This record gives sequence, structure tokens and C-alpha cells, in this order.
Amino acid sequence: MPSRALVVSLALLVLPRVAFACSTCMDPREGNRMLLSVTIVLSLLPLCLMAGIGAYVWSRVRRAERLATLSPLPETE
Amino acid sequence: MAVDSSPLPRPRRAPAVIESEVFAMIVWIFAEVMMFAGFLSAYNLVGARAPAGWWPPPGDPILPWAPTAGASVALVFSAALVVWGGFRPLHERRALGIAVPLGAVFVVYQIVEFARLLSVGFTLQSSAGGGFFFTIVGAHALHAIAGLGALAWVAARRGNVTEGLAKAIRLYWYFVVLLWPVIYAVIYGPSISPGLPALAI
Amino acid sequence: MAESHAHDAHAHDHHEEGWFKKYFWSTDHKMIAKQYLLTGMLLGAVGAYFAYVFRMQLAFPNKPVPGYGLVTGADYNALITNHGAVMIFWVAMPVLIAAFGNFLIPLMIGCDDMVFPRLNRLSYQIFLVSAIVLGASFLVEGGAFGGAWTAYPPLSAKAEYNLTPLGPSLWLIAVALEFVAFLLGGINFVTTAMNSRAPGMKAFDIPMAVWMIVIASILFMASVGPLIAGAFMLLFDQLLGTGFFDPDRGGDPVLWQHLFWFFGHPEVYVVLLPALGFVAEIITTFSRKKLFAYKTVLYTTIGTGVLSFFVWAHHQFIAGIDPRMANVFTVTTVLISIPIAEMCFVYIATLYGGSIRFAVPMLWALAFIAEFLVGGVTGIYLGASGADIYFHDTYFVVAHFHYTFFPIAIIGTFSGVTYWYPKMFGRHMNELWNKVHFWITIVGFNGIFIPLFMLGASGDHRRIFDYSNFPELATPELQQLRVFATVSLLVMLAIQPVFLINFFYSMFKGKKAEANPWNANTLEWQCPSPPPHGNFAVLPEVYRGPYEFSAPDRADDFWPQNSPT
Repeated sequence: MPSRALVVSLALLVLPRVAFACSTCMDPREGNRMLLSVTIVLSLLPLCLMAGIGAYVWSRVRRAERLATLSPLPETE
Repeated sequence: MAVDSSPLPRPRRAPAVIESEVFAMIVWIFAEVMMFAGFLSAYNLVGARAPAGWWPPPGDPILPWAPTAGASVALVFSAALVVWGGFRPLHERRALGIAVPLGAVFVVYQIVEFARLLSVGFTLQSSAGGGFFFTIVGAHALHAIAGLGALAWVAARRGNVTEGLAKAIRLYWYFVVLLWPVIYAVIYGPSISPGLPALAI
Repeated sequence: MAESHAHDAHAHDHHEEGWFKKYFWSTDHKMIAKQYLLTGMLLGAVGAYFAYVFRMQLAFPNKPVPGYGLVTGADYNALITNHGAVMIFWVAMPVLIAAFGNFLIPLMIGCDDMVFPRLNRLSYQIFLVSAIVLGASFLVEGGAFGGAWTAYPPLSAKAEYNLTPLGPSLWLIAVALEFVAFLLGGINFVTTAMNSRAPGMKAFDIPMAVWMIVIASILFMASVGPLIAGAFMLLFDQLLGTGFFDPDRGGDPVLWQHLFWFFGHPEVYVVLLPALGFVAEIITTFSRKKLFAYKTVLYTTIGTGVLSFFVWAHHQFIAGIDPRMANVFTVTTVLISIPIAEMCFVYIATLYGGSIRFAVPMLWALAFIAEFLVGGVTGIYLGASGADIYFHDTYFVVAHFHYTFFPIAIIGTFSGVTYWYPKMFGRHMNELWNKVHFWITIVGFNGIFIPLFMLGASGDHRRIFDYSNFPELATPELQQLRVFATVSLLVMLAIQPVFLINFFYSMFKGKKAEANPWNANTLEWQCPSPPPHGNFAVLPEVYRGPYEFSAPDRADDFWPQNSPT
């Protein structure tokens, strides 16, 4: 049997593509990058949204501070 | 707190930078965006991982993308009117009076579309594609109905609704309307030219 | 939601309320906090009872368990499933975030109530309904759900696999309701911390506990969406016969794992951060020192939150994800131990050179750091995808996450409860009995889970209710370790009534507490104990950070945030 294993190994060296399969879907097409892109999008989306909301809040706080230096605070209570 | 008897001395407080209602609505929309991102990612993943030739599942109809695009125009106009009304408080009530029926046109169209798709055997149970279609588009329709109800409530009680709350409800409507093109691209996109892979969001 | 200012809403309920209105229909944040705390404690007792029953079955298989009876395989599955779900969703979340968030945020930032008090009340009511729905799942035909708290399809999706036709649906509905409750609560926390801070309280004057609860709420809201989507899809699969997770009809079962753990891993940090916040408060107060590197702790927390979105797939290393992706997630998972380790170092640096007083809260806080470190270090083994292939689904995993969750949910809660008890109820707990309870709990806890590490490293698989069918796992050596763990659990559970009696007895008969019994700086100690409705007679103004201890030019070694001089 070792000779057969040797033949198979050598054949794989020449033609590695026949042994390739995506471990998720057993799909030999390597172009299927949807899982990767969905992973990246789904991971980055909350961070981008949080960063966006944070930037918006920050800009409003800064604007309020600028306004406060221009005119005294109104009484709200 | 004894605000009803003797008013106690209070320190000065700066007015809120962003009204509480608006800020709360931003946070709520954030969670909602993540929920729809979950739905759409699931849809894309299931489509991408189906064996070749099995997505969309055989037997699923081609979605009526053209009439839906037409109905979407009504939705976009309603949002535009809400924006316009937001800048002109005097005319806001009239703007909402047109915007809400325009939004309702879209919702009614979707109900009709659902009925027609169900009648050709495309249902929640028929395939994973049908399940995703009715879940995602249906979830958006429910959001649209809630948003329209809230806008109508603002229009009916103009003057009795705090400005922050009215602003928050307008913001919610923008979210509902802006979400729709994304859903349309992912769900209806492949039907525009069959054979194209599902669009990545 | 119509209140523009919290105090407008209170104007009408200042008069003497009825018993029902005071305890069940209150919009007062302190009452809602106590409701959450007591409900969480009750459900904690339920979760502990589940653990007792299945640990007894593991140590003494197929003998009737006192107080339960004979444990069948289905019972065992339902018990471990609901032990996990109850402890995370109905104990850790409501106690650490909801109870302490409600109690501490308005008091620590110096305002009278939450921004949306009625939304707050609704949040608790939905939470209560969710707990009742979960309880109901034990009474329906077929019994409660037994597909593990992670509810992987197809086991959870089809009644012919899990043999419980109604349990899984009720379980999912309960979890979904619970999420809605915490969404409402979280929105309230974030908005309140944003808009109701006392004048003068800048971003870096906010006590760490508030920061941590707010960041945890944001993380929760950022991560829960995909799981809500997944929960709807799973519920439709169960009830309406859709095929989202059914490969026969074009669905994908692994999809659920991604949606679940996209939430599930940030959730770990959602419950961890509040506990870290309590530890920061307690360590500074009882070592009379400024928090070492306040800004570093804050930025580290934010960094942890960011990283926590990139680690979820380490739960699927052997579920068939792309090995290239497994490499990426190994790196991010090992990376996230850096900020957590940094926080532990910062807390130890805070202790260095302080005048440390070993009061009961301090003991719990120190135990938190020590025990959580063990959980964190063993996490590195599991985060490396190579090692995880061996450790996956063994008791090593169980011991690892109990070494994280026990410090968070139990030690963190005890530290918080013993620290803020005088403020909550205006009386002190008995210190001696608290110390007895502390030592026996800690020793018992290590006695439970150190054997489980050894079991797991020997290849002991989880989710097996009777090892006699697995001769290589039913050896006397392994069985002795299981018996040791169970006996330790019995010891640990036996001491808990001491705490409960102390808790309820001291509520009525304990020594009266003054306003600031620990000489702490933060605003909650500057109002009477317990705080009246509306909290502060005069709303405070803030002049300095929360951890100004042992200032050189002052007679007192503490310097309250609201003291002008």
C-alpha cells in the first residue's frame, strides 16, 4: 500500500486542485467568497454604525459647547 | 420629588444636546438595522452555499421587480414629503396628510403582491427562498405599518406631541424608507436578471 | 415615552401610593431595580436547583435524586439546557445589567430617575412575562426544551428530533421577550447616561460602573439584532413549517450557529463589563486609592467591545467553517485576552500601596479578579483552533466558561449586593456571616470546577447523562472526580441560605446605615440611605472625578464628587 499512497501524493503535487474542497460546503469552487464577505460586513456594520452615532453625538456636543461660549446658558428648570 | 409642593432650588442644567426621544430612537434604529442585517446576511449565505443550480430554489417564481419598483417610488415620495414638512412646521400637517396615504399605497401594493405570490404556490413553506421573502419583506411591511401609524398619530395630535417625539417618529420613517432599497436590491435584484448571483449587501 | 423630562412624570404620583402601585406598578428606578434583583435571585435559585439535580445524576447515576426523583435522559437534557439559559438570560442579565443599571445609573450620575420611567416599568413587566413563559415550558406536553441553551438546529427545529413539541417554541418566545425587555432597558440606560448627568459631570468624571453598564448595553443592542432575526426564523421553522435551517428545502443549519454566536460572544462581554465596573468601584473605595489609569480602563473597555465582534466563529471551529477563517478567529480570540488582562493589571496596580481594608465587598472583588483570571487563561487554550479540536465539547469547556461566568454572575453580583446593600435598603448586612458565606462559596466553587478541568483534559465529553454506556469514560478515577465536583456543589449550595437569611433579615433588623458608610466619593453615597423618591433633596453638581481618595491636603481621605471644596 505505501506505493499507492506515494503515487497519490505525487499526483497531488502535480494537480493539487483535485483535492481541494471548501470544508464548509464541500464545494471545490474557490470563488465562493460569500461567507467571508458576509462575515466581514456583519462584523464591521455595528462598529461603523457605533462610530457614526458616536461622531454625530460628538459633533453635536462640540457645537453645543461652542454655542455655550457665545451666549450664556438658558435656564431650563 | 416634591415638585408639586415647594419647588426646590435646582442647579442650572444645560439643555440636552440631542433630545432624549431622538437619541433613544437612534439607538433603537441601530438595533433594528442589525436585525435586518442578520436577515439579509442569512439570505445571502443560504443562497451562496446552496449547490450550483439550486438557488433560487427550483420552482420559485421570478419576483415582480418592476411593479414593486413603481410602488417604491410612492414610498420615497412620502419620505421626501416628511423631510419637507419637518423643515416647515406650518405646513407639516398637510405634508403628513399626503405622506401617510402615499406610504399606505406602498403597503397596500405589498399586500396585493403577497396575495398574488401566494396564489401561484410561493409560500412561507414552499422553499427556503419563499420563507426568506415573506419573512424579510413582511417584517419591513410591518415596520412600515407601524411607522405610518405613528406619523398619522403625530398628524392627528399636532401640537400635543413634543417636538422631540415628532422628530423621533420622522427619523423612524426615514429608516423604514432607506432600508427598503437595500432589501429590494438583495431580494428582488436577482429576479431582474436571472442568473446573476445574489447581490452582496 | 412621551415624557420630555423625568420629573414631569413624577409630579402626579407623589401622593401616598397603594401597596400594589408601590411594589408592582412603580416607575421609580430603585423599585424597578429591586424587582429585577429579587426576580433574578429567585431564578438564580431555580438555576442552582437544576445544577444540583443534574450534578447528582452525574455523580450517582440512575439513583433517585432527593427533591427531584429519578432523572431520565430527557429530564437531564431539559435541566442542563435551562440551567444555562436561566443563568445567563434570567440571572446574569437582569441582575448585573438591569438591576444594578437601574439602581446605579440615576444615582451615580446625580439625577432623579431614568429618562423614560414608564418604558423602564414596561421593560421589567416584559421580563417578568418572559420568565413566566419559560416556567410554563416545563408544564407543557413533552416537557421543557432540551437542545442545549445554544438551541442548534436541526435538533431545536423539529419536534421529531427533540421530542418536545411545545418546549422549544416557548423557550424561544421567552428568550425573544427577554431581549425586548433588555432592549427597552438598554435604550433607557444609554439615553439617561447621555442626557441626565449632573452639571459638571464630564465624560471622565463618570464612575466606571456607569461607563461599563452603558458600554455593555450598547454592545447588547449592537449584537442582539441578528439573533432576533435568527430566533424568528427558528420559531417559523418550528411553528409554521418553513425551511430556513432545513437542508432538504435549501436551508442551512450552520447558519443558526453564526447568528447565535454573533450575539453569543459579545454577550459574554455584556455581562462581564458591569461586573468589572463594580470591581473598579469597590477596589478604589477599599484601598483608598485613585483608580490606576482611568482613561486606559475606559479605552480598553471600548477596545474589548470592538474586538468582541470579531471572535464569534471560535465557537464553530469544528462545525465545518473554512480553516482559513478559523485562523483569523484564533488570532482575534487570543488578541481579546490582552485588554482583559490589562484591566486585571490595572486593578492590581490600584491595590498596590493602598491602605486595603478586607471588607466583604472587597473580598468578593478580589476573588473576582483571581477567579476570572483562571477563566481567561484557560480561554486561550480554547481560542487556539488546534487545541480546541481536542477540547471541544469536553468538560474543559464547561469548566472554562464557568470560571468566567461564575465570577461574573455570582461573585460580581455578591460584590455589588454587599457593597450597595446599605444604600439599597438603608441597613447593614451581618459582616461575620457574609465572610463565612464568602469563604465557603469560593472554596466550593473551586472544588466544583478544578475537577472538571481534569475531567475535560482526560477527554470527558459533555452532554452525556449516564457514562455507563461509555466504558472508557466510566472509569473509577473519572467517577471520583465527578463525585468530588458534586460534593463541592452540595457544600456551596448548602451555604447559600445563610446569605439569603442574612439578606432578608438585615433588610428589617440590620444595623442602620448612614448615608456614606464606606466613605466613598461617588454621588450615590451623597444622598440618604435608602434614597427617597427623587433621590436627591438638591440635585448635585459635580466638581471632580469619582476616585479622588487620599488627597494630600485634605483632612478626610475621601473627596465626594459634589463637594465644592
